[in-house]
Amino acid sequence: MPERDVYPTIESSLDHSPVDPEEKDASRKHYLRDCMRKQRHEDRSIALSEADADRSRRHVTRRKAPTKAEAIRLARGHSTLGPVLESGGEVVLVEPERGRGRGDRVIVGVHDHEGARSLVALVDRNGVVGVHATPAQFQLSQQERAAAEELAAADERAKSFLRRRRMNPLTRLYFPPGDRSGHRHAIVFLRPTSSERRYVVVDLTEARVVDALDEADLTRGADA
Amino acid sequence: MPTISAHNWSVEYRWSVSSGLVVGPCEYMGVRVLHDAAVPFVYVNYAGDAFGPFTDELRSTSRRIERREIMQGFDLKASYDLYSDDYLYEHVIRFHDDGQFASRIVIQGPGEENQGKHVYHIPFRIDLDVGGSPHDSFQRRATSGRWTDVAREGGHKAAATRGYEWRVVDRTQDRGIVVRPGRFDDGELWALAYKDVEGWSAAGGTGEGIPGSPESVPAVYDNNESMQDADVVLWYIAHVPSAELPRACGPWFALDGYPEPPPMGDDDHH
Repeated sequence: MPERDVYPTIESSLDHSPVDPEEKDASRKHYLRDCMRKQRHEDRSIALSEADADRSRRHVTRRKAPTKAEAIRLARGHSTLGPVLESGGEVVLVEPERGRGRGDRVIVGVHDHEGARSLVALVDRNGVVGVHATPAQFQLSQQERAAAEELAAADERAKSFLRRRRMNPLTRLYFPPGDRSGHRHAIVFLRPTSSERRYVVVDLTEARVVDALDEADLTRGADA
Repeated sequence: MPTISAHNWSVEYRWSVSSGLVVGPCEYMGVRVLHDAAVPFVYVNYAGDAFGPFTDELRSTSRRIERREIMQGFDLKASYDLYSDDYLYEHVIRFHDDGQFASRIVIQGPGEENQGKHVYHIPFRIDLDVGGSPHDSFQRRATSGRWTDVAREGGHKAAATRGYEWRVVDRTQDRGIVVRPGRFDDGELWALAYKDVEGWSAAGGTGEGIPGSPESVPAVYDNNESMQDADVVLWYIAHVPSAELPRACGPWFALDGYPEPPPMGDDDHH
């Protein structure tokens, strides 16, 4: 099943009544009605006092925050983010704003390959509310993971190790020791069995494999 | 977001694509305690530093958040099991009816080797809301036992006293939240002034170095701002060697000056 990114806002409504809702649907003619004519509703009507007594804290879903697609579209139209995305920058994160927000905004993370920096923006349905260059790097996006795994699968060292077995990849953001290129890297764990491992380092900025490691490489130098 | 109203707490929670289980806003006896709390990522480095480190998003095959009734409270629990044979983390956020709460990660490992040559660094970001911003004061307990103001942003190694070592107080409301490090965490607590770039980047944003080091989060957000009459955000970082896995780590909190719950039996909060 394809993954869909929809961010509904779920709000508490203290005085909600399903038979007398606050937001009335204009297409319906009657409220405070019981078509089943249950006890005390023999004439199909529900007394307002009864509805009031039954009002309680319920949750109402309202879709207010921009969807992932809307957020990306709005980011593309922004004076700072637009040029970055035009020149090969990638949206690596879209996620609802957390506890300080009102539920109607999303966080958009962008990696600017050309500028070797990350940007983070707050976006509502009307546009980009704010944007900052962030010293943090966001985790890999689904597209970046897929790209890294495709590159790793094509590497001769990986092919030789896998011998047509399933790659069963585990792909993570990676920081090569001593690297000052500013490039974004991934490491793809090749896991054909529960005990055999190889690790393929991918430079996502240049779309190429830069290293292939084995288990001993991970702790090389530990006993030096 | 789903809300749990139980045991004197009202807790909103959700699944975050970037960092799994996120709670917040949270209230105790109708008074706000947390904007939100989460573990933004996990950072693992291997001895020798020849290769690595790796950072992990806390990802799951199910995105299931389990609620569990416990003695005098409830837990929210998520399993980060996407890493299959290599890594498994479990996240438990616990709320007690007397106002204590905790965020704990259980590190199952085993990781890419089993000779104890790697270390897990787990950052917990806790965005407290003690009495509305910006009247927070960050304090640490001196060896004399007295609470003393901390002037500026920065990190503080745990003293392993087994007691509450830090607190955030709002003097205008006469309320506070005290923090106790995990006993075996080799923990450290960073106190920062809230900044949009820090808050927004908390959705999985990481750095090249070990969390707590100058080149990584949260240190990269440290502008030497005042920690008095501020809007304080806490980052607790546990450094857990792989030699004794599985192991749980994380900070523990208690409330001070919040409304008292009604006597037992007067109200059914379940």
